[in-house]
Amino acid sequence: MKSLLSIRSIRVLAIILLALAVAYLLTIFSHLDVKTVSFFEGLTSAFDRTNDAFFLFLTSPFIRVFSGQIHFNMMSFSQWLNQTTPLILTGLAISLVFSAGVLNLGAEGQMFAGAVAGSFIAVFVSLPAFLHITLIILVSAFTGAFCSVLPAYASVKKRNSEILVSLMMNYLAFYLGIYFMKRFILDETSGAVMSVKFAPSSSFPLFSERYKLHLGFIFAMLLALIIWYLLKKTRWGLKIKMIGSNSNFAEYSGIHLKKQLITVQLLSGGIAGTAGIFELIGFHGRFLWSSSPGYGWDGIIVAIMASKNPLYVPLSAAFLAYIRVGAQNMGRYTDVSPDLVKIIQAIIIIFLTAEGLFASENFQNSIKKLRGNSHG
Amino acid sequence: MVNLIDILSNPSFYATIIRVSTPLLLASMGALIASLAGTPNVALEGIMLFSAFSGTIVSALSQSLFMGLLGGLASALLLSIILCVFSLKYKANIILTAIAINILSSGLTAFLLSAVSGQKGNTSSFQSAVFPQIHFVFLEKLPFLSEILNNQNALTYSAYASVFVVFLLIRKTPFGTHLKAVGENPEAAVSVGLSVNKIKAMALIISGLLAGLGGMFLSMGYISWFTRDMTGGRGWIALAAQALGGKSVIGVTLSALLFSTGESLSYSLQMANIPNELVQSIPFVMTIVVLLVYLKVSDHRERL
Repeated sequence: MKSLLSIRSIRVLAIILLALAVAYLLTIFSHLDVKTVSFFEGLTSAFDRTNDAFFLFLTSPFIRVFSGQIHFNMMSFSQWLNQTTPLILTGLAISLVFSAGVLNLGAEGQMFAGAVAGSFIAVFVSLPAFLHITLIILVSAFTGAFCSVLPAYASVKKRNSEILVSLMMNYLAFYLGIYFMKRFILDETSGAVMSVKFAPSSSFPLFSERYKLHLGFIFAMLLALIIWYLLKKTRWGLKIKMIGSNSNFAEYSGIHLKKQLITVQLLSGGIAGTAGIFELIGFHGRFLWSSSPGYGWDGIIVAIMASKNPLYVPLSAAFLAYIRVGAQNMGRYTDVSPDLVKIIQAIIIIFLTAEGLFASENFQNSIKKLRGNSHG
Repeated sequence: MVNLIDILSNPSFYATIIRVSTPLLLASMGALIASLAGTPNVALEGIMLFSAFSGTIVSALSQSLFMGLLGGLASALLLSIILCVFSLKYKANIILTAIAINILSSGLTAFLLSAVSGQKGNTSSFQSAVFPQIHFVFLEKLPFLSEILNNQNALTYSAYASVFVVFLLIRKTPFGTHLKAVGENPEAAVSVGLSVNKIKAMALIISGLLAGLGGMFLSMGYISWFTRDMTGGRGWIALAAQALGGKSVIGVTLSALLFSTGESLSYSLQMANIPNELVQSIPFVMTIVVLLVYLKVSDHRERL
């Protein structure tokens, strides 16, 4: 466990605490009522309300306080695990491309397109359950990889040109996805924009029927292990890391740059393509997104928090899903908006990516000293 | 089926193009300046959104359009400075910082929206000031053109003025020369004594202020309230317009107008039976095709 306590992870924890502190202060500020008689009274009540909200925010995925007694919150716990699944998958996808030094930010579109394509298979195809689900996942992955082709092509032509192409692909995938969904599998009888129900054989196995806790995260964890093995233990992974740290050097040492860049982006697209489909076949049983759910963007923060290491991706995805579910509960039972999570996310990205910040020699030395003291 | 000729012969179609081009032109001029300095400003979307929000709130609280304008610009300045400090001083990846700023802006505006107004979707309970429409008497004599060009919003005219200002800035001022020097060859710029980071920071700040004006058009141009995520991808389209138009002011202006035509057309075509999603995806298809053709033709050897 030595690596978990590395300077880097202490830095991550410090920044997470900073982000939570900012969110806390912001909530107090938003609760300050200027109309109260005394400033002190207003401040106390703002503190109380903020503390109540933050208690829900930070504990509700585990526990539920009901008439003075503490219960295990199975409902939110299931939601937590379910929400972790797509975040692990997009986190892995982004970790892969970031490892190769490519800024392919198309995971959102790949995820969306994959989910739409998978939904088509879920509606129109009838197969024994195991085959049907396998086919759905494969088609989603293939579609995601397909969406990655153009940015990958751009990236081998000119450094950083994949950024804009992948961003445009996100919009294209969204609009075309919605179009195909509305055109071919729309549920005309429902007032809302959603697809018809999926074929029963498509429904993903559940841990718990009542809470709809699906097995998606097992798949995601397994994939995290596989990608970790690929990146850290194989020659291919070594090549990708070399390309990521110095593509010129990698080229001179005989690595086929074009081929590897395209391979890694197609693999990443394939993984991102499967990120959304589990929620649909495991939880909803139909396609019902009218806006893009944002898991692809979340993959960026997951990958950054995990410092591109597939082994830490599930951990950082679980953290993000945890504050998500907590914030949803907070939004439901208090007047604090769940958008607080976005602010926390943004602060974490801003500070974590700032390599020159909290990472100076001085800071690292003082941390080393601290660790030395605590061990000695 | 709505007849295309009916659409094209109606002056209101063109007036709509001019109107919807306002935020896009301002933001894509911002994208151009940042891109000339070699620092793509991916935070345009978030800056527009934040200015749209703070412009509305400040002008509603102060009951003054001018204060609202200042508030909107100040928030654009603030976000641009955050972008500069983290990416230029603390060496963060500028794309990732910009994406974080977009997330921050979306989250913070939604959070403050419900904290300030108690509403979840919009600030319609606040009555913000609105930028005035301007009527030019001399245009009245031109029958068709007057309907298109006259009575547009003050910010619309400012957007077109900004095109000229940016053109002059790039072509005629030392700053414009420095900008291009820094963007094209930073090492050479350093060797002649230019401060690369300072010029990049200036470019990002000007870029942010232009985007901020564009954002305020959305919430204070024709309507007087802010809705969640009301920029709806305009910051990204501005980046696309810049990519399409290359490094020339005229090119970027034309491609911004092209995207505006697409948007105006999508409003007209919504009445026809053409699915909205297909019309809305046109600008993105166009950008992707142009970018890829450009990459194919110019055959960069940079990476290889």
